[in-house]
Amino acid sequence: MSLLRSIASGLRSLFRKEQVSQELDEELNGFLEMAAEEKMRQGMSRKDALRAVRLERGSLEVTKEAVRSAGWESLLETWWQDVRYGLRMFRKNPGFTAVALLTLTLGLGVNCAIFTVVNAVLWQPLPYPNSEHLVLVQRQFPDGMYPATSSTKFLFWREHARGFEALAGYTFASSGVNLTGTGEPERLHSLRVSADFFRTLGVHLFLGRAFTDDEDRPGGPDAVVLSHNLWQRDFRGDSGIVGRTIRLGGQLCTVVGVAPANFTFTPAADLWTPLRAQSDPHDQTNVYRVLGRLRPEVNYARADQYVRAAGEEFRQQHPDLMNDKEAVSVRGYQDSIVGDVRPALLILFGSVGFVLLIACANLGSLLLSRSTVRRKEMAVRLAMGANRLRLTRQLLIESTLLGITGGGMGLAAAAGALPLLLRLTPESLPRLGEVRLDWHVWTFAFVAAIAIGILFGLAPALQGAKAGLRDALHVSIRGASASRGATRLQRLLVVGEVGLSVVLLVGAGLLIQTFWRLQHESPGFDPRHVLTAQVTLDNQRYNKTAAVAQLEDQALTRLESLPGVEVAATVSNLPFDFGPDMNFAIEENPSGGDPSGSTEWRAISPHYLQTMQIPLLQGRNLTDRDNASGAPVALINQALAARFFPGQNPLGQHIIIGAGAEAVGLADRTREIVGIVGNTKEFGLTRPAPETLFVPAAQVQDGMTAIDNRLIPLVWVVRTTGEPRSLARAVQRELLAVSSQEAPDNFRTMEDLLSASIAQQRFNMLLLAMFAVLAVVLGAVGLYGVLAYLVAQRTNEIGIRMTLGASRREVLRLVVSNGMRMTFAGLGLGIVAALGLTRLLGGLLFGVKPTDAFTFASVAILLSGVALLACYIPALRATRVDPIVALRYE
Amino acid sequence: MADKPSDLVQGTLDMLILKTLALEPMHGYGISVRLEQMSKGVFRLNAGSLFVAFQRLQRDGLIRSEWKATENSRRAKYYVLTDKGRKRLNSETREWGRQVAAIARILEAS
Repeated sequence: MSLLRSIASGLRSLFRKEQVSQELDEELNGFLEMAAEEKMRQGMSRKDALRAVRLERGSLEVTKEAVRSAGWESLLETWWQDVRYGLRMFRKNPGFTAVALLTLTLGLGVNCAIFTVVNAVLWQPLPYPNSEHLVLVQRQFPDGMYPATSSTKFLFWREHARGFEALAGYTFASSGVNLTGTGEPERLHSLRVSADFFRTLGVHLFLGRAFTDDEDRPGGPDAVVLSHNLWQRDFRGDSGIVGRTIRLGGQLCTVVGVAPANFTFTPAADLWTPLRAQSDPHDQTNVYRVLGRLRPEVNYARADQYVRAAGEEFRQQHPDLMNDKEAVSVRGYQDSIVGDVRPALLILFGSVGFVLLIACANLGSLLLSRSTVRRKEMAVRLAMGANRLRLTRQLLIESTLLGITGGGMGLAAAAGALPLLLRLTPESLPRLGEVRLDWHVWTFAFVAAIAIGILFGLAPALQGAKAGLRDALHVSIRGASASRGATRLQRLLVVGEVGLSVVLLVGAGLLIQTFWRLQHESPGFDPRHVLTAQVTLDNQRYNKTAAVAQLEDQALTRLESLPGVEVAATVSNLPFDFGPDMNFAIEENPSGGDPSGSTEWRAISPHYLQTMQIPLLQGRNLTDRDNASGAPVALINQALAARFFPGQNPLGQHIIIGAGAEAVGLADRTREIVGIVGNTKEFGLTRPAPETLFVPAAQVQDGMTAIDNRLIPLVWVVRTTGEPRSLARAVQRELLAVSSQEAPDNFRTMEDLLSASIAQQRFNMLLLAMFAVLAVVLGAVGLYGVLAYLVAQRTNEIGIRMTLGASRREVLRLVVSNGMRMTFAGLGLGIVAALGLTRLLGGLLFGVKPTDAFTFASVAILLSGVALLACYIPALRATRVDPIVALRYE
Repeated sequence: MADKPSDLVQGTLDMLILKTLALEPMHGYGISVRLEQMSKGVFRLNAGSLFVAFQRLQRDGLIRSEWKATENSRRAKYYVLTDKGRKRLNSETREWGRQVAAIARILEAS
């Protein structure tokens, strides 16, 4: 009760200040009058009586002040006074304020922007209820985790693994589907998922239901769940859609449900169809991912034990399907999604933290300079009776005000920069759609701003309030009025700034080199003037190779006769895309080398090498005669030749692809190796070219064609004479003319694909380079500021030196060497720190060592140059000092 | 010490004000005069401490105030003891008595 009353009364004093003050006046006046009347009754004159009362009872003004400052509200009031005073100081020193705020805005702005991304991608839980219980069940080998598994293993795990509420399977790779019957055929992303997929994720469908077990059974009724987006776009949000049929790949499918609008999943899909996994010991294609929802009481370690046990059981029942090196393990689902980008994002976040530290050091240094300048003011205020605590608080409030204002401006800057940042972000970055400036970012900005204001304001505040009365007033600002402590601290701050800049510059330098090297790394083909497009062959009739070969024949003839097209081809999948690998055995194996192995497998049309400009090194290229009726042939790349045919001529030797998979119709006929081609970087520029085998698409086994059609889209590759994109419409028209039900889409140039494949490296490089530039600019401003300030402080001393005969040159050297000493100390520290820290970059680098001497040397030279410039300007000003003026300078 | 008014024992001013108001509502000056009279001039109160104490007691809900006319028809703020204040006074008086007795016993014992 009394707390409430106290608050109410305090608020009354705050907000009805006039009235409260009047009442107090009246009451105290009454008091005075009554006391005086008493005295006057004893015979005093009114004047004497009033004086006597004042002497006895204390001055009314003091009383009023005492009453006013006794309540809690007075504390607020003095705070408010300090805030207003601080704001007034800022207005009176616009230069200082602008530099301080700009520094903070830059520092906090980039930090808020990066925090927004890092927080949304790495730290926010995935958008599913209790997403921390979601795990991927994976195969584990000594060299790492393999997320994909076979249907047989998935079904076994689901039946035998304990500790799960649900265990769902889905295909990671899908060639997509063609939606027809709603106008133009449309190629859509589809994902096959098991019946309990949505339940495992904890997602309730927006309309209808998920798949039933019956629909998930091989041969069950066809069913499809639409994404909210597709439902809106193609079916205009028709609420009667559930129960209707749509035509997918020529098959009629019943729509059973619509997913909620905010539902996202990786890989993204427009629609979902039943998985229909079937236990088949012969089918060893590892295309299923297994997502589990743990029971609440089961932690990851326990879950790991459970799936490991299920794996052992599987090994006992199917010793031929699981070798000794294979085990089963769980991985947090969130980790599986963002784990790959975590190092890069954390490094960027750390770097941006360095930028903030530099900005803060600048702020601290500025505040220190100001505290020295304001010593006289502080001394006067101390002399007038202000206590040190109040002065310290005043200075802290000023720095916190700066911090908060800078934080607000930084937040605004981040909001402005975020769209730009997101445009730079590689599309492959997971959870990009979830990045937004939410209250987490606000909290981050606010806490950082206040922490900065207090931490970096504390030393200057203590310094300022320490001002000894006597010497501050006495020495005033003449001569060496900067206290030694303040100057030493400032120098340390500058050294720190330079050191941090070195680390950032070295990091940026290494990433720039990485990117430069990647750009000059040959992919093994010529990406210029190549247009690519994808098509999904999901119609049943394309499960026979002959039908696909006929389609390719007709379409390629039409494409190659298009004006502007040099040559055209198909390939089962392009470099940098997911592609199948196959086992093979060498029939002859005369030298007793490795008789069998695994290789990347590509089905191509005869002109693929010309289209991609992959060099033929030995033997012959494919021709139109390498068709179904011709003798089976294959091309191998250099890597495969070197690994499996060392010191031999592979030409004329024979291989069998898919050896051991006869039962599922994947075993190939014996093929003759007719040519050796150059290596292509199928896995991306940063990884070595894998062993790769090319076979004529027209000679592929039917079983393989069927699997391919389901898992990967067919890719059209067109080499053009001019700008490739300008042919997209013509290519699309020709392809539709040949097969009207399969919509070609995803038109991209090979250069786009190449550039997308190094988008992450470009992103890392651009951001770190930007931060490094920011760091150098801030560091240079800091160095310049401190030196300019020191020169101003020493004007007097410089004047004396010049009067005594010092030349301008000597003065110049004095100031510059002063600054360069700090720079070199910072350089030394920074290089040591960088040697330790760049090791963290290891995984992000390509073709350059973390301790690359060239980078370190360039950074040292660059930074020294910038520092020299920053020192030179104040030094020049020092030489312009007029001795007479300087000595009078007061 | 004798010719100079004594400083109040810390914390006792509140109790004395409450005691003064227990008789009848009174304005600030009246309270100070009453305190001086009752203490036979030992306590002479500085206006500052007096009015700070009023504000404190009022916020604690032990007294409340109202503007009224004095016998000399001057407008003055009168302080009135609340029920809570009365209870507090009783308990503090008892506590004071116990403490004084205890201190006296200690002093006499030596």
